Amino acid sequence: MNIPMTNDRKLLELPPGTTLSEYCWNAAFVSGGKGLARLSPQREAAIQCLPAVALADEPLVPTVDLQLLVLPTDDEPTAELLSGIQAWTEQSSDPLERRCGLLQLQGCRIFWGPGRAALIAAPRRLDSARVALLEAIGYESRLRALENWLESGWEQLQSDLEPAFEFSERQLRRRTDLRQRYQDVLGKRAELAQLTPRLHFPPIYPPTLASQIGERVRERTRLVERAEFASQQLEVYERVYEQAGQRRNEFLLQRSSNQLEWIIILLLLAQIVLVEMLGGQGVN
Amino acid sequence: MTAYCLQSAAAVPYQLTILEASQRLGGKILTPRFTQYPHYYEAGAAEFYDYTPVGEDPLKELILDLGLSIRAMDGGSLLRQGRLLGQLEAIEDELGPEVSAGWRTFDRLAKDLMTPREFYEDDPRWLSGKASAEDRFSIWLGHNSSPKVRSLIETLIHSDLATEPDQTGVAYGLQNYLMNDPAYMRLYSIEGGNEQIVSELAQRIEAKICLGQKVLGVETSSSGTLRVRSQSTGAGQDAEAERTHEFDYLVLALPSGALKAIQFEPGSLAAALDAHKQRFHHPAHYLRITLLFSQIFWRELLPDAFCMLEAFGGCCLYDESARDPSAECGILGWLLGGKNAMEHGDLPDDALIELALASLPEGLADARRYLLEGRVHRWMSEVSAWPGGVPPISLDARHQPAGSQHPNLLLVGDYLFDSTLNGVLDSAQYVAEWLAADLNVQAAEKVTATAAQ
Repeated sequence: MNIPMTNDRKLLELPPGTTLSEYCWNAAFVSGGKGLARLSPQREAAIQCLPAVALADEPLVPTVDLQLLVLPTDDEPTAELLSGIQAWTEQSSDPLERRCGLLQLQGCRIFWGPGRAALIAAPRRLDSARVALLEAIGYESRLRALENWLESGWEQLQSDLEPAFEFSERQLRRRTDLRQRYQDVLGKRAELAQLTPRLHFPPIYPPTLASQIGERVRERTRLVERAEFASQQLEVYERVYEQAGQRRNEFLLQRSSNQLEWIIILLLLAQIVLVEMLGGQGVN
Repeated sequence: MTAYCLQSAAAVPYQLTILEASQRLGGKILTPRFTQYPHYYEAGAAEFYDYTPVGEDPLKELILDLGLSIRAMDGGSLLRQGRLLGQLEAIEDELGPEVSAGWRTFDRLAKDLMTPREFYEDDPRWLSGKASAEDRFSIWLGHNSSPKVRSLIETLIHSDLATEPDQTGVAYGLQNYLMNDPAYMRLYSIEGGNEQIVSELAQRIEAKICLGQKVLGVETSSSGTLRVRSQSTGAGQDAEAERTHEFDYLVLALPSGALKAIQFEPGSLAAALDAHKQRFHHPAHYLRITLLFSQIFWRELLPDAFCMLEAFGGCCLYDESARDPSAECGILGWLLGGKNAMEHGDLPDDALIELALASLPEGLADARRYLLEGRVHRWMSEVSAWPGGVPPISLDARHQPAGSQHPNLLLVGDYLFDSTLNGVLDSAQYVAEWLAADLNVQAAEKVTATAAQ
């Protein structure tokens, strides 16, 4: 991964104490992490300038969700530093998602994009601001992962519409896949159910820097509305796979019922034939 | 409001007459427009309280039922020396760590004393064992905060309180502090102006509305009805002409201060009303200064719908133009409360406008350059400093001051509950349901009497 910084590709000097950390939330959620804020970074290193080739090019874990650059400074950042940081933040892993949000609060500046964020604040404010930022971005990241999963599943859902209406012998071969997809949908529903209460957490009073960072990032990324849309979409998935499961059960029930009927018919036929045969032989 | 509630509650026909001293309905809900540019602003009640974080909110439901749109309002930070102190950290930087820590301690104590549910219920019984219903807020504040923290808290709540901490009780003082916490309640306004609720209600009620009729006195008649003397306040032929009206029931929906201007028949009626006034008359004051500017020059410093200023003993500065995103001009509104509102109320409008401009921090010093027009609205003794009365009494006794002697005289007012618009609705509903029940009983008795004949 290459990180072009400024237009002239000069190295951008960073304030002393700057660190770059890599985070991966999804794993933590799946393994039952108690809260994103308590996550330790997968890797953290002090850096003096950008691009930070060593860290950025070779992430330790294959799916790094966030690279966070933390710059402690009491001084007003220069325009060059700000534009450099913004360019770095916009340079996310997805070339189609080169966008960057900016939040200025209480002398603290936050840049965030889909895979990168930067925090510039006075050293005494850094810890609380970092925790709040990680928490908020973590929620956003989780929700985005869910949205992506939903988005990628529509095509599959289309092909699964038929068994949701009518199940046939041909589709019986797909029942393991359908069951797996239904389980996946329920898993995603459980994830969203875990996430939603954290998005609806009421603002804190008296407000603190950390609480306001959390609230504003949540607001700016429209987390509450997005969670509602995701919930509605999940409902569609649930209905399709629930119905498919129901149709499958009905089909299997019907099939075994038919088989039973045929057995009874055959038994009756056999009885008739046997009675006829025995009657013909004059057995009383 | 009472007429609307009665219309919903009554099951029998009745005739309703509304006497209004001014030339408009709505009282403290007033949304005028500037002359130079027709932008609206709130000159009276600036916002509605949204209790839905805790429980049902009948007023919000009513507003939405009337088809009105609402807009959430955020703010409440302290604007001091050109810096918006929106977080504890900013308070710590500006006023020192002891103030920040003291505020946290005070906040914890306040929340321990009144939970969101107790705040919502507004029941004075919650205080038992914690503080006396007659304890003054200033004393409690003094016991639980340092002078610097006390000053900060007073600045933050002064304009909402509309009085001084030594003129009100612990419960009302705490409510005015805790209302800043979104877990207790939130604020909203009506898109297009709060006064729309008045016009929407007026359109829906069936009543004879007599504007410009000031009530002078109330007497009883030999038949048990109530006789009301009123005087025309309008111009023309009817100016100052006196009229007499006779009613089976009379509902006085007035601020406690305005009740004083009415002469009640000497005897039991006057005595009951005197006792009521003594219990409930704790006048509080508002003064609103609203200025129209050719441009919005403050958004960088003041991004919220409102903030608090230290000027005037603590006042609220509203970005009135935030109510209307399409506004091309800027509007700032100062809400002064309590003693400061009273003291400044006698000054001419021009002087008040100058004082308002001077109260803006350095970063907004250009205000005078953009000023187009200024308006001043005075609300002296129009609100209550101690709503619910001292000592608190039952809801029946609050609304029916003369008890069984004159059961057909009823009162409605925000001061009987919590000095809010939600309190007006609660009070109006209480009286409307009472009246509706009485009307139903009377109708049933008439039917029985007719059948017996």
